[in-house]
Amino acid sequence: MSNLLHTIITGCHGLFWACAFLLAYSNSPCQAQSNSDFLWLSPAPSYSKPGRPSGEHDHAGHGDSSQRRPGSEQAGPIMLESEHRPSPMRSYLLHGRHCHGDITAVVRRPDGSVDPAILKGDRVSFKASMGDGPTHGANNLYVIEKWLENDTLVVRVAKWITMHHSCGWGHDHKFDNQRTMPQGSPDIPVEIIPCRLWDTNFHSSLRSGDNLDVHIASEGKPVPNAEFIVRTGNNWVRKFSTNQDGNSTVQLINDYIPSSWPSFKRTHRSPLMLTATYTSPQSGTYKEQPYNSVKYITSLPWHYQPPVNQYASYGYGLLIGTLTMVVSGVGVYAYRNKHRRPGRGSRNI
Amino acid sequence: MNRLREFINTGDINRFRFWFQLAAFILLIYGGYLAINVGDQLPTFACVFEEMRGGSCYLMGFQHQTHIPLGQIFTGRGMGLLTGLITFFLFFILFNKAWCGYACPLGTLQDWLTALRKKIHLRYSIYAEHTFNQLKSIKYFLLALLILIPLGMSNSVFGLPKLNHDFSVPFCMICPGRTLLPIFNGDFSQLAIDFSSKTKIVFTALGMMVTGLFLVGSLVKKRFFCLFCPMSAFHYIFSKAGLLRLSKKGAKCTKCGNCYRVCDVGIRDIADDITSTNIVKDDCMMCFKCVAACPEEKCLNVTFLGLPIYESTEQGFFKRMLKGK
Repeated sequence: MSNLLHTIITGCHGLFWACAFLLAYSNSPCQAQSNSDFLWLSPAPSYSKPGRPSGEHDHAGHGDSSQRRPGSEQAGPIMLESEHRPSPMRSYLLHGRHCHGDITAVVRRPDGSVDPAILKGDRVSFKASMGDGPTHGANNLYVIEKWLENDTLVVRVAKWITMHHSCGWGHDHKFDNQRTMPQGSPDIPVEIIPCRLWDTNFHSSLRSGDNLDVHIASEGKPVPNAEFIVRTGNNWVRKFSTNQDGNSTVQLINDYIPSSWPSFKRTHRSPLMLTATYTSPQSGTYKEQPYNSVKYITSLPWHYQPPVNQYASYGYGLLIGTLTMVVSGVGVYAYRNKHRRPGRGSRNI
Repeated sequence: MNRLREFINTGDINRFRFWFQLAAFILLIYGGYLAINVGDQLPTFACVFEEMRGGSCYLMGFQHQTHIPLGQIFTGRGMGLLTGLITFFLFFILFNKAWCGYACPLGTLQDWLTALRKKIHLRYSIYAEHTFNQLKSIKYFLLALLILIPLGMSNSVFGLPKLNHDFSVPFCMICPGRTLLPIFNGDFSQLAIDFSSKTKIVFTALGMMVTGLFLVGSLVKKRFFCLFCPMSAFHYIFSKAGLLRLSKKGAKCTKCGNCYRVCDVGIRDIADDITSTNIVKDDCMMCFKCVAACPEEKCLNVTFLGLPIYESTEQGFFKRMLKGK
């Protein structure tokens, strides 16, 4: 029974964002109930060839395996996004869409240029050229939705950051902050800009216990006193307010506690949903209808991994290294004593 | 021009090499602080686990790229592997195996340990010829493994299950460059044992054992690790195409054995072989100490694109021998 339960849990883990957040924020198209709900994106699942062995492609990052579509015997493993697996076309599912909202979707390239994304129903896609070029690095996808509710203009922005990178393209951008640090766009009504998500080689580096610094910006300007909410996959929720510079910091908890060491995966991705909300007393007209305030809501899903010190031991490492040195040193000494040759002494050639 | 040639041929190659190695070490270990990235396919141990490096060792990328299903060799992934190999080749042929003698940070570290051994007056070791010949084949075995293991991740061999992802960079996991070079940037994290999987435990434990052996071995034997280095084996595949060459005029050799005695690796052929013109052997690191120790006029020559740049001369030999007396 426990094995069955474990299998189900492992299978569900493959659906990652869907499992984590759909349970809490289950919705179908046009189902946002109020203007406080947020709009968010998740990667559209793609499946490799049926029957393809697990472990070949199914690791999200470096080795997160055993992700399979529940209930399907034929389906291969689900391919999640990885910063090591570039794709010429990225597709995402849009969740929490409002019935009457006007939607636009754009993608910000690593070189700062902004291109329109393809929006079909609840599926958003964009193309990225393969190889080192203007799309090599973090691509920010934004879906912006607006509608008028009473005398309030509601503006919701769903953001997704995806790393378009292959180590085979090289790491020439490792010293380029514009590429290696998450960037915002001055054209976006509101967005969450994390200060650091990956290392300079574009490998995910956010781990439990780390401080996640974020900046909330509206059209490139900081937003003070915005409500910033962090939710993890296990529904751990914390609320913060941004300071005068639009910044906030959260220390990530350990949200991943496997039942045993054999089931532990160091590349496990704990989902994280960041949202920010604020209201601005702006007035104006939208589609010839007046409004007296604008409510901004934005979301950014991300993930974090277990900390290295959870599974790494300096003690054992140094012990093994030291023991090897002692044993080999004694071995050399004993060998030399046994094979002592007269007159060899110390020769400093 | 003749005066310049005389100046070079009578110069102290060891001193030049010391400063060159130091500069290369600083460039490859700390180059990142100056936003320098020489390249990602370098034929030397510029360890990728060292965050502020100024370039990257090709073996890491090569192992990543050989993780390829055989059916995809003629696709974009195969092209990636080919492009990497070509880039590596272009870097390599410039300096041939002098990458080992002059640029390798791990080689420099071994030379510093040798200098420490001299300071503490510890006796050095040399291998017997048959031991040397047996040990030198280990590097080819390691090279074969670092190709076959990643291949085994993408391909099922004899119906056996594919290897898991923890095998992706097998040589890097046991390379002392991974454990030792990041220390120069204050990063001690590679000295830990990774308990996240059985494969990781074994690899990181092996890595620490190799590190221990490296430190003790390099203290008692000059260039201890170079004899086992798969990068050296990889170099030798392309060595004949190198633009920088070490050649020997056998007719001028008196078999005095000076070149063998000063050879850090202990290549006997450098003295015994009087028939080969190209004297770069698979273990040679092109340090050119042999050229400096040769008393015969133009017996050993270093050439670049056929142009002589450093030659053994009687005058240079005696000048170096009499130095400090």
